[in-house]
Amino acid sequence: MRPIGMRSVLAAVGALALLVAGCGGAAAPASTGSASSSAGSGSGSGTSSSAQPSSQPVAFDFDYPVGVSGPLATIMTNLVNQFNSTHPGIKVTPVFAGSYQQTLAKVETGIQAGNPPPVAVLNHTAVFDLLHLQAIQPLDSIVQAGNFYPAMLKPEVQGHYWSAPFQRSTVVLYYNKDLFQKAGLDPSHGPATLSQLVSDAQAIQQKTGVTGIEIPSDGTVYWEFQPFAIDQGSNLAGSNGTTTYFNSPAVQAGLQFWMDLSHKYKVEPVGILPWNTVPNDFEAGKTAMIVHSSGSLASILQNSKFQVGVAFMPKGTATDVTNLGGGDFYLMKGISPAVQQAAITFIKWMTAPDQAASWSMQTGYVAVSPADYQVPAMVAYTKKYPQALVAPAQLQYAEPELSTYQLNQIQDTFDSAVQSVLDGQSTIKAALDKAQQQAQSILAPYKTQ
Amino acid sequence: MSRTAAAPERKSLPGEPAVPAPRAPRRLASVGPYAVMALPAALVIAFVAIPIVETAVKSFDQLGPRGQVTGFAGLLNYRSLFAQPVFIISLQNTLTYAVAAVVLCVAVAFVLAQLLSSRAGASRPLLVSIFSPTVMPMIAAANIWLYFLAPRIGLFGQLLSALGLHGTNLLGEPGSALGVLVALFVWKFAPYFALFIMAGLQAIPQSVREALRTEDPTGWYAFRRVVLPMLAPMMAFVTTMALLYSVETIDPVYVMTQGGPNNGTTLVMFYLYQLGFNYFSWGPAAALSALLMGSLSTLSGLSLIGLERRAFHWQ
Repeated sequence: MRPIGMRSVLAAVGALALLVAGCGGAAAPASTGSASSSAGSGSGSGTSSSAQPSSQPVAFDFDYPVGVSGPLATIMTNLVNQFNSTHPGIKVTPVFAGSYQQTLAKVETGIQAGNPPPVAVLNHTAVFDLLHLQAIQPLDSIVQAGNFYPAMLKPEVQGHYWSAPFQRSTVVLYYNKDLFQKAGLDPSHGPATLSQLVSDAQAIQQKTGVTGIEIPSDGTVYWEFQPFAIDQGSNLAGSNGTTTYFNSPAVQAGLQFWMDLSHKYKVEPVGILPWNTVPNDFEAGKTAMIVHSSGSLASILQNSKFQVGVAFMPKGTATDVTNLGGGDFYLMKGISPAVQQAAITFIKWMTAPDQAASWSMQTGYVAVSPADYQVPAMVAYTKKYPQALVAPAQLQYAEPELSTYQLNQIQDTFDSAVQSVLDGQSTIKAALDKAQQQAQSILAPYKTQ
Repeated sequence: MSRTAAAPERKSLPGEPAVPAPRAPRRLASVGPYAVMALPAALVIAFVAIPIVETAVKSFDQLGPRGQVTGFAGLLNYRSLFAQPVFIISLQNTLTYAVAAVVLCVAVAFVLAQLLSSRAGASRPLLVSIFSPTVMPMIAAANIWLYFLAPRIGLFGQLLSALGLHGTNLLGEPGSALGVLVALFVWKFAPYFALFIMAGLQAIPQSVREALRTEDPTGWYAFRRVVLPMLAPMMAFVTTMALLYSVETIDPVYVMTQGGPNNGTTLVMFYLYQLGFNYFSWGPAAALSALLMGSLSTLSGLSLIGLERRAFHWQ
């Protein structure tokens, strides 16, 4: 018995040793690879960034999410290939990492393992959590030289710009021009005010039988809700990452209007409407208007068999409002100087007018600087699809998206509150008071820092 | 490695070459099973056992934003877990879901097994259609249901509209969304558990069946006093498995509701995922993992012991 026991232990140890050796073996080439690449570019960076085709190129991964429908992964790969072929000293590998949340989770896991992707596209709003992780480096030089839309750079955190805008979108109102005409309304513009929105929707329902409006209310509800709160006088959060105004009178009034659309004016279906199927209803002619992302423009235009109108958000007060969403380029900490240099070159190139315009035209995202709209291809595109000019025109009125520390938890807290009201489980005041109190207790540890 | 270590010891023994020759294969035979086991065992140790222990230990540590240990926390992680209102909601949801899912699933499986065991029930196309949900991956199944249930454009919504019920959105309300998850669980697992119960039914020997048929033609008494007791261990096994599966449910939540609306479908596993990979609250996530691990392994351990005790042996 005893020798067998010994042997089995030895065998197990041997197998473990093999396994460990295997892991080590797998890890070793990677580390030597990065060492040699940094050494190779170290000699290269002394003279010029791309003048040394003989030395090994600086290689790094770039993680990106896909947040809207369409063949975005293919478009991204093509764009990165174009960069690689025009920059012989650098080789970027694009890595599709899922949704925004999944990409953030992947990057954070990489940070914890001490091996982050040098460059990633993440939500603009992830800045506070990334700073808390001490994960990112400022991109002041790129942002200052980039001449981006100022609205996309708000809020400035700790005196720096931490990300370069890339795939951004605004909240817009889509409307079915054919149905507007049928109902005797002027199809050349959407409803300008909230009361017009209600009367237009009622007219359409009476004359055509089609639902007046749908506003999505699952997932990240806060985003499409924000314009309705800002319109009433206050955003959902301050710009320091720890202040929230979830139960402010403006937020209550905005939510009251949402409830009224379904219950008082009866121009919107009752209950929670999914983000993904609201555009389908619009494209199928089942609803005359929807509130959605400007990023959905390309697919809505493609799938609709009627004249699609895109309008500013209807306003309850004197000024126009919308809010911004979407993703930016981030540069991680803890990467070699050579990779850092190459990564900055890459981010600069990707956000430059030619590329930004091309990305915008193919995806439907707002281009990130006024210069992008002067690119000849873009000029031709916007002539054909003037709807694409609504989002950039909105930018001067755009407010920053809800952004705090512990962002996912804070967003979920607010989203649940809104949903409990829409589902009739809670009154507006009770739900928002509770959400505000929860948010403040989540953020309390960050206030002392 | 072990062989080279053992070889010199053997060689030093005095003896003719005939002795080691038959021994070598025998020795190989005794080492063989362990050698075969070594790799899976090493994998289990590296990827299951070590992480389990590490998680349990870390649940008592203070963890920084990067998951690194910054100090000893005692029960702090557990306290902050129980202070989260959503965690309490997730426990309530899981309780409701598990009880409903297990009771319905076992009942449906039992009826299915009876029907399929009777000669008339088991036609081949019927079997195929009943078991198709079982072989389907949960993610795929959940996606199919998602399409069925899409308000207005989905099959289900259109059927209801035809009946005059407009604007039904089952996933849009907390109660009905949890109901959908229960239905999905039953649809997916009842046929699978029916297989076990059928096996239990078929394990009853022919002689016993014949005796029962002559003794009790209506079958109710025989069923109650003979068949059911003989099936009991199998039913206990099926119930335990169903309970474990239901508590572990996460994929349909992730695909269909993301825990919403208003946390109405946040089950405890999904909440654990949220804590870890969405909120990056590593401390409470480790605490919840440790709690789940403790309770689920206790549950399955106890039921295994119970099963051993009550197992029915034909002798």
